[in-house]
Amino acid sequence: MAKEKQQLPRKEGSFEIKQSSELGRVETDKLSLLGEFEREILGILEGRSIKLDASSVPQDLEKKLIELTNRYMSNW
Amino acid sequence: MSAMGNEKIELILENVGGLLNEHKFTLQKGINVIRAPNAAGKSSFIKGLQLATLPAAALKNPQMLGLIHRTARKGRVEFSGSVQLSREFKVENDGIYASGKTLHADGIKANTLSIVTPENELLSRIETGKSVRDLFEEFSGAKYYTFMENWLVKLEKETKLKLDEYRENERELEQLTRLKEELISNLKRLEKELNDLPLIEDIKSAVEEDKKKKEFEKIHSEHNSLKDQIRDLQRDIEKWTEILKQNEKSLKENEDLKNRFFKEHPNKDLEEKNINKKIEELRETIKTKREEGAMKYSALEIARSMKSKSDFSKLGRCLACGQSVTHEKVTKWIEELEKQEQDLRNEVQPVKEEINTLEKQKERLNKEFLQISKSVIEQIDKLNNNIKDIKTTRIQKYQDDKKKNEELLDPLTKKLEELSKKLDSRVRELYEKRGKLEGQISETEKRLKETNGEIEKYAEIETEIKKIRTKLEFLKAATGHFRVQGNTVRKAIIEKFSERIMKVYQSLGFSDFKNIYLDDNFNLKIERKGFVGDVHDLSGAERATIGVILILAGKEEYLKGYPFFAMDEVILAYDRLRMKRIIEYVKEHSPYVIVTSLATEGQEGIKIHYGANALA
Repeated sequence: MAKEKQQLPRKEGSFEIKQSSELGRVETDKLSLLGEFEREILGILEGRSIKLDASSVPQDLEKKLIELTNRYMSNW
Repeated sequence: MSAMGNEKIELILENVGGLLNEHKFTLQKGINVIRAPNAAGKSSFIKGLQLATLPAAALKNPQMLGLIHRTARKGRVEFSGSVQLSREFKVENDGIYASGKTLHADGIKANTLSIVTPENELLSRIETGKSVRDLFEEFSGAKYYTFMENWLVKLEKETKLKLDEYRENERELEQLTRLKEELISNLKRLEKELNDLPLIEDIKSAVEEDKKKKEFEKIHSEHNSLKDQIRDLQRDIEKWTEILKQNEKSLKENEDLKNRFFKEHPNKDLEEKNINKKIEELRETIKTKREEGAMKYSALEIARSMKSKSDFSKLGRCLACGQSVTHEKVTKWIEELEKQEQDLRNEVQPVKEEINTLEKQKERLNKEFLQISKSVIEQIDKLNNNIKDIKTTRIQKYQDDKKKNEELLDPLTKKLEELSKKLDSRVRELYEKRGKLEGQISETEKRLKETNGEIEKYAEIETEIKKIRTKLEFLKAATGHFRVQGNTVRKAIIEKFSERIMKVYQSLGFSDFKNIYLDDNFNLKIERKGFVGDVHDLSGAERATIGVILILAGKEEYLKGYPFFAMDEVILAYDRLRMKRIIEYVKEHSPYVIVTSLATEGQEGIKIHYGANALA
């Protein structure tokens, strides 16, 4: 019994480590997804001669941005 | 724009600013001082550069109309030699329509960082102590981050609104799920109670009364089934009465909409005709004011020409009409005409705005009329048909069926009562209990089936809600990401730029300030003798100098290799030494430096002087 009790915290500890490393992996995946999203967005925006204003976005640009956002959102 | 071997640039300005018809100039590498008397087209030269620089979208603005001669409908700017470019312009009411490439791909940036006039946006921000954040964001990649952060926030708001629309459905779904659980639990309890009832056959007296029991059982079953049917019909009646109420409510709303429109607009055609008439009148007003303006301008041209002609002062009379006039009288006449012309220009703008308001009012009227005459009236017809159909084919029919069943139920109830009197009291009690339980079970099963059907309808909505929640989570993370990245980029711009300003400042040989830099909000800060202040602590001359230095630093950072730098002399006229140093510095970094300057008395038209000595 005493032996079992001694083993218990180690099990909990290893479980916790696994959990946090898994969380870390998820966070890293999401960060790289956001980084990729940023690169693709800049690819669309760079070189556009119009003044960018979020309250009135040209239709073609809005369409592209929505498509891209939906694509990344579905992988979130 | 393309560069050739020849270092001279031949420039043609046609109907640009105050220059009517075609005017040719030659620019040489180095310093070009454009000298002209007042109102002789000195600023037209700068306007020519602006026309060559600004993108078509920026020129399509009524405020830009002053770049082309007010009596002309078209204009042209042509560069040949070392720099080649050809742009043509057409004047319309809403601005200037340009064709041909600009001197720089980002014309707004080139205009701000290479043409220094009192109207320069960057210069006036420094002079008034305002932040230059948006301008620097526009010149750099930071604008993409700001735009994306704002766009994502907007999208997040829209998505939240969409989720709110589903909130009511979500609440209804929760209620249905709770009802389903309650019904399942009730059903289990009722079935257990039914199973726990003793069998009829277990009662001895009942066995003895087998015949009576069978007849009772048959009537009891018929009675139960009839009661079920009546209950179902009652439920149908209630359900369709509710649907009827909803249809009637919807009908009332649509009729209110229609009545309100026709009350507000009893004669739509007449109303539209009156608006059109008013618009025509206002257009006529604009036309009259423009014609008047053109006349004033012609008179102004004559007056200016009289003033510039030396013979006039000798003769002392008008060359056109021969009347006796003095120099002072002509000067006063010019001032009055300039004021009248400006007043006419100011009067046109509110009339244009009024026309715009009326156009919008007309558009709204037609849009509402179209909506009422099509969708609302169609909806009213549809709802009227629905109501009629529900009343006659649904509710009436169910009520008739229910009445028929109730008539059948009465004799059965009587017969059942008679038979039950003949039965053993325990058997009778058992039948009553069983009948009651079976009825409750059947009712609960039906309600459960209906509830399941309702829940199934919400399955798609539930998936949609889940999708929206994931989207919101992504948008929140993406907004944060662009905010953080944008801040990093902005910080880098501030650091790099602050370093660049000091570098240019020191290169010019100035040492009045220990440090000049942009703070976190892109406000200019100045450190002098251990004291940090802003532009409000500087004199007008110091502000102008630092403003020009900021523009120069901007040109070196964001407009490297651009061949032109133009400056109006008035900006630094009070400090000739500083201006000379600045111009000498610009010459080292920009192949063509253009300075506009007021000519000494007696000069006619525009003359270009070349080289540093021309500045004296």
